[in-house]
Amino acid sequence: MNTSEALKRIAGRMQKSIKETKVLYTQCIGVMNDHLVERNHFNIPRLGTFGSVERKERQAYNPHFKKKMLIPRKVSVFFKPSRTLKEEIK
Amino acid sequence: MHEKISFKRLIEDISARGGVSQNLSRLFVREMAAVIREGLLEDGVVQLSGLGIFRLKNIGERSGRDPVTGQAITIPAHRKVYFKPEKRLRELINTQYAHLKPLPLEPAPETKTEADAFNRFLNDSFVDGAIEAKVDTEETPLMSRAAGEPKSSPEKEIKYAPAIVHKGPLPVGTGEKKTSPPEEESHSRKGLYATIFVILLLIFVYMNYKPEDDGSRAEEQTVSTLAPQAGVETVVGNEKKQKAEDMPKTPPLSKPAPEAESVSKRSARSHLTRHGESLWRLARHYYDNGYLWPLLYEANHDKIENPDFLVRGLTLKIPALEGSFKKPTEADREMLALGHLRAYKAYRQRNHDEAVDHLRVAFRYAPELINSYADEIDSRDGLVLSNIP
Repeated sequence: MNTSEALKRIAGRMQKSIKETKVLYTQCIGVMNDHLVERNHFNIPRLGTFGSVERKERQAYNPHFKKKMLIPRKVSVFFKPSRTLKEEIK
Repeated sequence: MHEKISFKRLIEDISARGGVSQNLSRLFVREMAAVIREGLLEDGVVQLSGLGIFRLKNIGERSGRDPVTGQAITIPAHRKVYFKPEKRLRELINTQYAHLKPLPLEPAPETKTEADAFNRFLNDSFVDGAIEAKVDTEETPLMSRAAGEPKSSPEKEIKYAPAIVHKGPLPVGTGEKKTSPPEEESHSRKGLYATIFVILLLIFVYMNYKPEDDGSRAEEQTVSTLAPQAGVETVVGNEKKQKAEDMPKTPPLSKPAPEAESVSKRSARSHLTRHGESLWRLARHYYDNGYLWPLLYEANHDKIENPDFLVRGLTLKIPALEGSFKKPTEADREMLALGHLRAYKAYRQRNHDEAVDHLRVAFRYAPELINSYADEIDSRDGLVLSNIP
């Protein structure tokens, strides 16, 4: 499923036009991204928790160059599915 | 920063941004979550632009352990949701660390000591002293392990012990260690210098020995051949030129076979060809004139196939010149003419441009000789000779 199909379904469920849904969608995603950039985490009921954490710098082996490399620190996004989603998927 | 955002606050933010009611935004977020669940159950993949991709993965059955009781249990096969953020989102989040790049780690500095490096160098070089030193170093750990057993030459062992002390943590007297490495180095270096000197000496001897040896042999030969004919020579160490002068002047015959014989009798010197030599160079060396090279060619024509190409390792006869280049005697003239004639033949076979020149020179030296060889001269070149005054 891709974005346009998801939007179509959401619009059908909310009984709104796709255009309106799209505006809502962009705003929603924008807010989520802002929170992720600020390294906050938030929970969406019956879906899961989104958040971002900082990974420390570490040594790793680069198999292409066959060298040990120092990987710098970075921020990565995590998603933890909620219990209900896990149950549904099983 | 780094706080937990409640769902209520998330809804507030969304409604504040879009200017819509909180009810609507809450409804939207709930519906969106429901659609994502639907999509996951239907396709197993949900891709949302601006956020990322949700994917279902099948995890096979595996054996694990109950973390509470510690009993072995089998975890049944199940599905798991994975979320991978979009590249745009990843970059947006990592903007503050964008300048950091993975760096290659420097290899750990080698902890080996100088003595070890020197030992390695000695291992590479095939030097007697070095091999001895190496063997000693290998022996020592065994000795130190034996601890109590006295050996025949304990002083020597102590000398070489420090080299291996760095490698293995063996208990050896620390006071001796500090003094010994220079001794060992000096000892093995002496061996190294000695062998280098011997090698140089051998090279020197090899360079000088062979030609001298040949020369002396040739001298002996000439003496033995000349002795019955001349009968006057008593001193062996005379100058070679003098010998040549003493030699009986047998006029060279017109036929090539006896001619070679007479030349061989005259040969006062011999020469072992080396790399990079040519007939011209040899003539310049022995006669001070390169233009006399046909003399050498004539004397050694049985060994030299191509006058322009000299194989190394040949022992060439150096026929003596009675006169000089400017004032050749009659015998010299004949020899030179024969040499130039032979050069002409060699060059004519190879279609060399200089063939005619050699014929001309040969004609200059001995016009009457050319007539006897007329049948060997190419008909084309006969015209050239007829033009010579």
